[in-house]
Amino acid sequence: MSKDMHPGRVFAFMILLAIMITMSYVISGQLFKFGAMVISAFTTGEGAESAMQAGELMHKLTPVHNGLAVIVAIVMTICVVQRFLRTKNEMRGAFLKRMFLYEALAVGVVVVLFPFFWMLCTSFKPSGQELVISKTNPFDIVPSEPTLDNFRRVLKTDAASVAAGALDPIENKKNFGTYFLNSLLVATTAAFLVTLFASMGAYVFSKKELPYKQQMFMLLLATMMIPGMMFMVPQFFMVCKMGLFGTKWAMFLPHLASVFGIFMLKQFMDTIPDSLIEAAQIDGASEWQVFRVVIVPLALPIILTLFLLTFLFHWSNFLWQLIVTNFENPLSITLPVGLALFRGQYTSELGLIMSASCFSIVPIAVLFLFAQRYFIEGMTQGAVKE
Amino acid sequence: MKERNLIIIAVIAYLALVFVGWDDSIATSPDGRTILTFWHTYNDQEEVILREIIKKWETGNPKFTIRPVRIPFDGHKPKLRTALTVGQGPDMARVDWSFVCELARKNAVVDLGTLGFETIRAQYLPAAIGSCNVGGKFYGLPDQSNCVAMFYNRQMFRDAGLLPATAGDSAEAGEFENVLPKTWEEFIEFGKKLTDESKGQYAFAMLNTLWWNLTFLNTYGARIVSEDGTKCLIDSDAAVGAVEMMASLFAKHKIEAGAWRPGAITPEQGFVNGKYAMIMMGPWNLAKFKNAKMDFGVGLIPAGPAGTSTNVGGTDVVIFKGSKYAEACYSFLTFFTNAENQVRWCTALNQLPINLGAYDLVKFEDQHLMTFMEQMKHAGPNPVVKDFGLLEDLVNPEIEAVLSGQKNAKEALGSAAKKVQERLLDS
Amino acid sequence: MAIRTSQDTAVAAGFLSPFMLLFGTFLIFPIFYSFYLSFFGSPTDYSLSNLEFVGLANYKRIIGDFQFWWSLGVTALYGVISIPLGICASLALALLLDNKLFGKSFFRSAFFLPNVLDMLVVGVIWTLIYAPKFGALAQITTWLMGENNFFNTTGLLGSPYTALLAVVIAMVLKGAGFGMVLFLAALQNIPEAVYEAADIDGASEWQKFTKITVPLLRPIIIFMVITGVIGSLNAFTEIYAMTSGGPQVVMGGETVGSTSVAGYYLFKQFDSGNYGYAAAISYMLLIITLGITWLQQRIASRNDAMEAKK
Repeated sequence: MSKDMHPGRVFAFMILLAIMITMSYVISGQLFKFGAMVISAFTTGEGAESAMQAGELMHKLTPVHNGLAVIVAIVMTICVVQRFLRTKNEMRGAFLKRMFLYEALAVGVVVVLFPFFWMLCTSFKPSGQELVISKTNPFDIVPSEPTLDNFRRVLKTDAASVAAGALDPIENKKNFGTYFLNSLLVATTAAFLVTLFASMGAYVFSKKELPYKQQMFMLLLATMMIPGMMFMVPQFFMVCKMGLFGTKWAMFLPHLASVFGIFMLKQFMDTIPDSLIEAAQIDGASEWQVFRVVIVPLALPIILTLFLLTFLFHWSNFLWQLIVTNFENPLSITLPVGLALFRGQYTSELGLIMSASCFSIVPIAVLFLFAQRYFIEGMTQGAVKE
Repeated sequence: MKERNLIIIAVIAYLALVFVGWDDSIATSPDGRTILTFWHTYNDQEEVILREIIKKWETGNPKFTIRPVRIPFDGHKPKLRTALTVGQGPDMARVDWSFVCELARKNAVVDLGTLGFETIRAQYLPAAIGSCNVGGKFYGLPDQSNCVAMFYNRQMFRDAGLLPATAGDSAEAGEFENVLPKTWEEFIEFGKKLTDESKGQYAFAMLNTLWWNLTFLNTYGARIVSEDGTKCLIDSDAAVGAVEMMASLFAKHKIEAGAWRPGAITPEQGFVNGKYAMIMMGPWNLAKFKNAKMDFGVGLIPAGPAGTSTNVGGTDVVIFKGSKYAEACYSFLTFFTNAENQVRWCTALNQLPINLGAYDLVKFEDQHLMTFMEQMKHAGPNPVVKDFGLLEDLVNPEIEAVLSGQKNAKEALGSAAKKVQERLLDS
Repeated sequence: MAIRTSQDTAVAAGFLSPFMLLFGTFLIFPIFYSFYLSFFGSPTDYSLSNLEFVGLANYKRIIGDFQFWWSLGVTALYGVISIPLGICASLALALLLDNKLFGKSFFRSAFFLPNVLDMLVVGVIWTLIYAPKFGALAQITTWLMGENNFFNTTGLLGSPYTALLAVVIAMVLKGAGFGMVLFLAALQNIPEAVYEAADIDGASEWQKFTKITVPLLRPIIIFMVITGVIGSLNAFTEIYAMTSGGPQVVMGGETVGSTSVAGYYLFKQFDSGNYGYAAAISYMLLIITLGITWLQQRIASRNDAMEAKK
């Protein structure tokens, strides 16, 4: 160490280092423990006894996951210390700032992602133990006796559901797979149509001339102020009159006119400079080409965001889909409604609800990971910045 | 270029999915029999027994077949309301007990008196059938019923010296009679021994919703509405006494944990974690607590001036006016709830019977369920109003104001009674 | 030239027509129908065909409904706290993650991800975090300040003074990632040259932020404010999941819920089958919001005119 090192900086570094070590140990410790828990849950069978076996297996794995966490903490410490020592003295202030920034972001990520972790952990807990808090460490939410029973019950592969399903072929079709497929069809079709129509409409409101455009837009905004539940009964009338009750069209058709979508896209398109459109028009592009080549690529991050949000809305639109469902027909039951069928009457079985939520969130996470390349990385290479 | 191929493949796959999965036709199996639709909210285990009973009934009634259709319990009310609006309701349905009065007032369900219900009325548990009684006429049959009793944590009782050291590792039949307090006065005394605020341990925890509070009110003999359903009686002296006692558990004696506050954890969770020594709970949680490896017992609710008592919950089955075959529906529902089928149902599913004829025939292995059967005999009647949710919304805030010490019981219940009278009973 | 504009109009109308067709089919009738319902009493049966005409009685009842005015006040407070907090949080995240940063896209994804969670799940989890005696917050404060602290005895959701704030914090943390994505996308449309010109003029970072970034992000900020207002007026699920309208406070003899926002009050009316009164409440809310908007615009335009005179 060189002797002209600033003592205050060293002190700050020490504190940040201590925070980093604790955080990396705790976070990776929980993640590795979660991994061990998943492994033990998968290697044992159904029922309460196998949950105890899984618990024993997990206990045996304790040194492994603790050891891994220690290794991660040590490796990270070595890396950071080395980098700090290598950094030139005048750059060390910036280095500390950056380190603080990363730690703050990490804390933020832990706070916002904690619900996901909690949801995952709870879905592995056996019935009755969802609410039991660890006596040694109240923050340790990884179950000590994990089981896959909740997932089995959701997918109807447990003994009781198999017995019930054997009684009736139609009833047997009422399973998670059917609900999932139904919701997938409803949500993707709806999201695609909403984004298409809303981006076309938003383009007009943002960049085109139309008589009474402003007034029309204000009127649309005003209708957003009325809560959607007021429209539920009349829309239900209309759907029934059209003979669509119990069909998949009924699940999304009344919600295709998304004022929210048009508003969001219009506001974003307002930030796109007009000069780009004029340039394209001078090059002889047709109206549709301008829309497709200039507007859509520039607004793609927001269009994808709208797609995701609309998908999400239809993926979890319980009340509306409930009232237009024909429960005699398994092909009419969507995921949110199907998941409500699991929920008991008196016992709100948290483990069961959470494992069902896990299943319904998986496709969204996949969609998101696929799309994030476009709407998160896509942003960094905007056409305007060159 | 690769990317474009990927997108094309995705679009083709999606279109294939649409053509395979976009099928809205209903599979029916016509064999000449008339179909009666029964919307129920049972779970998998219950549905197995239900189908067994349906098969038995169909052999005696070859003209009909019953199609049980499960709908989610969360949302069965909006589903039925909207279906009835366009006339697409089922022939019969299982509904929450609090919904029967609304259905009857809105002229949607059949008065069972016209089908000869008087002759078999005495079979049913009075507290359970009470919820179907709207203005002296009966619009439904109970199919499932339950109540709450006092659960106690045996380990915490042992630590406080309230459970004899000779007691075994698990609760025996009738143990509660020597262990649990018998009156609310005793309850407070016991509570002080069981509470240790420094360890975060409390003797008791309660929720504040009217349905849960009915237990307290019933032990004081207080009624919410008069028998004919025209007058609100919640400001009676008995009710004031009950609410004052409830409030004193928290504010004066400090043996209640404050679990009635918004955002506090539920009595159930505190009980499972060994923080609350006693809670009121229904039979539906017995299996769950056993799974949580708890050492607990169940006993009767302490007695107030009107003796021990409890509330009633459960579900009823109703027949809709839209059905052309009300008599066949009635025949099935009475068959479904007769003593013989109740015995089969209750022993298979560990549920309390609603048919008095089944009471002596049902023997549970679980002693706690026998305690519940005993408790059920002392159940008080539920208030039958056209909108129980609104009744809760009007009364709960006032009782919370008492519990948090912002109002005294007399004043709060007075204004609750006024609002209930104006907005629920007279309108 | 005239031909050109009419052709332009036709193209614009063509682009807009699919949306307008759907809007006209599925929203115009419900809007008029619910307005029509607001002049009728509660239905006596399920068919909704024999309703009793009550004229303006529903609107008159609102004027004297203390619960409604209280819930409107709570809604205003909810909006006043949640909108600026939400905008600041998402703008701060966007500015932080617009820099060159290792693992930037991981952080962006992570902050956006809570948006996909169900509101009820979020509600359950935050209730457990805030719960006195058991929750994470109570554990931390007990460790720091001893067991006799507010977070451990009453809990944030248990006190009428803090319950609304606690709900807002949970909602802001859930929604900040969405605002972040909007701001990040809009930041890409600001030409680099503008900042370079400011650098030459010797502008400080703060000046660049207030004079360049914020004005150019104005459309997004307007969007966030307006959707924030709408979100506050329609707020319901978060209240339902976390507090059910409580804790109760006594105000001049009336017991009212400290988190009972207008959307929650409206839902309760709707759930009780009072369609007429619920419709009247939602139109009253619309009138009040539009009135405030109009007033605010008039004041703004007068200010602009005064500044122009100077």
